[in-house]
Amino acid sequence: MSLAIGAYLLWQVALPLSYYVPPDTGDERFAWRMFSARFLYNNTCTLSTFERAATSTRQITLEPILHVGWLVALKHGRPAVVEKFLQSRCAADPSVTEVRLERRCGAGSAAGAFSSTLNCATRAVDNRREIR
Amino acid sequence: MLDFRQTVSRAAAAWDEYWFGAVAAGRPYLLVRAVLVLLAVDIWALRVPRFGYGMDGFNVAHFRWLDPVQPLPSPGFHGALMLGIGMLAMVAALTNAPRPWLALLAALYTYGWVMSQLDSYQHHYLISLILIAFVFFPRLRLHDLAAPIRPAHIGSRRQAQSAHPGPAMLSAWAYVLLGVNLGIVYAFTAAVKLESGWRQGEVLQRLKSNSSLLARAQGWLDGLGTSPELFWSMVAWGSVVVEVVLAIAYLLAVRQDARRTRWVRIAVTMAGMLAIGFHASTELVLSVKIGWFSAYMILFAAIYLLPGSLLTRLTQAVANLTAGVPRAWPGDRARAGLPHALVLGSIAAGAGVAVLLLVVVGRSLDIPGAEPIAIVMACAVAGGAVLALALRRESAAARYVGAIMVATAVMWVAVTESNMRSMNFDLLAKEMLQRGHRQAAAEAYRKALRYAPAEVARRATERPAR
Repeated sequence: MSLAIGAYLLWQVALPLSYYVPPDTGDERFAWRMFSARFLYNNTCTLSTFERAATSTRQITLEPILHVGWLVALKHGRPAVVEKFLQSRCAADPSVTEVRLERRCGAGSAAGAFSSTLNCATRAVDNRREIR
Repeated sequence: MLDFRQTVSRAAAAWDEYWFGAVAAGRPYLLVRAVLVLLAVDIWALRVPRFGYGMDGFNVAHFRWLDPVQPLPSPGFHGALMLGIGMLAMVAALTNAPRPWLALLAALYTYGWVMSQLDSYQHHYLISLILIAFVFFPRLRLHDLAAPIRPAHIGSRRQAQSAHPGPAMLSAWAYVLLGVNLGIVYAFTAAVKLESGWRQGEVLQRLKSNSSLLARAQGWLDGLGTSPELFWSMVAWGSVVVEVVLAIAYLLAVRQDARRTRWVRIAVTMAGMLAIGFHASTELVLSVKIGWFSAYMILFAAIYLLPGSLLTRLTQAVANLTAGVPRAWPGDRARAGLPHALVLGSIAAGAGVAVLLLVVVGRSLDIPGAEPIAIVMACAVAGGAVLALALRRESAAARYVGAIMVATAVMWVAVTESNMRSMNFDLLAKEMLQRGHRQAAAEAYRKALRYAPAEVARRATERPAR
């Protein structure tokens, strides 16, 4: 029993600590970071999505295609949500060759901006932080 | 070498004493019941209905392995799951449910948020840890608290202090572990506030609500020549200090009942009052959307940190209040020598009323999934009652039937008195409008108005139609 208690405690300390270990995924879900600066700043960020087809690139509006709860998750840059969203856009329109999601945040924000681009053919994802 | 062995032996003894030493039995007893009641009402009042689940065919679970193996969640599935979890929690609180029941509750609750990142409240993860700990709590009844508990009655590792003149004591490692877990949570939340956004007070300024309390305090300090930056920084640092104190207090609190040192008990009691004030002020001063997180933390502070004598009096009061109830129950009448047919008839009639109540309430809630889960629960009540009577478990049958009737009534009140239906139908109307589904939007908006508080509905209908 003592071993099980020790293992549980180790897990309870290691899991939130892993948030602070690089690479920074920005995923605060299991890190006990209630009311973190990052969480609050993320909410102020704006999202833009671009879809590239054979000859053109168009910007799409997210509100009619995604529930507001998922828009919040995208603003927080949760990797699994970003990836699934990009994949869903590729799947929705076969003519789309590339989807890019951009997050821009206000000046002085600790959240930081990023872009995530999915190549629909190769499924390769290109993540970039702090786009200017 | 001998010294090393002695040191190891002492450390092992201290470790065992910390985790398996005695705590006042009233603490785990009250904690399980109070948290389960709060959880049930919290779920019914705040977590249904949710229309985002499965909308546009999009969902991402909290763990990647779950997405390929689970069906796409829907509002109906989520609603049914939440209402059912609330029922399991409330009935468990009222009946001293067995461990498998608590394990099922913990598993379903955890799946309730794990299935979609639409629910990413960190305190839901905390509640999962709490429910898992409850599975391993000692199962206690009120009469266990009235007298010192004999070791044979409570299991091999439990150490009773039969000569102890105060409250009944017992070993409860899961209770201790949960307390330490809460200390860890406070430590990490304090660490977050050491980041620059907090230290400079920027976060607090964003969080402050329209409440004039902080503004008044700031104005008063302004008058003393303190800069706003310094004021906010002081408030932020104050939060860090409080949370560090609470982290340490939880680590000490789990041993306070067995310690003879008075200063530990005094310090822990003061920390308890600090915790209650801290979380109450968070609700009053800051505009934070954290559901009933503060209520849970206040409850934990009251049970873990306040003096055992106070909790003993509370449990005694509960005992006195409920002392007459079992005698009035049909199951106990059987023991009192009433005709068996009368007892069976009473329980069958009670089960019938519970089934009817469930079906009527399920139909009236207007929450996706409410009706199917009410029918499932009604079938479970009917089947359970028949089985219990066949096995001659009249007392248990009466207890569960009574608890289900109470839980159903509380569920109805919690859902209908909450503004969640109105808010979420309103949100659904907006989502539908953005997708060009005008008819669905109008229908959702009508429901939002129907369930809105009277004043809000009146103002909305007076607004010129757009």
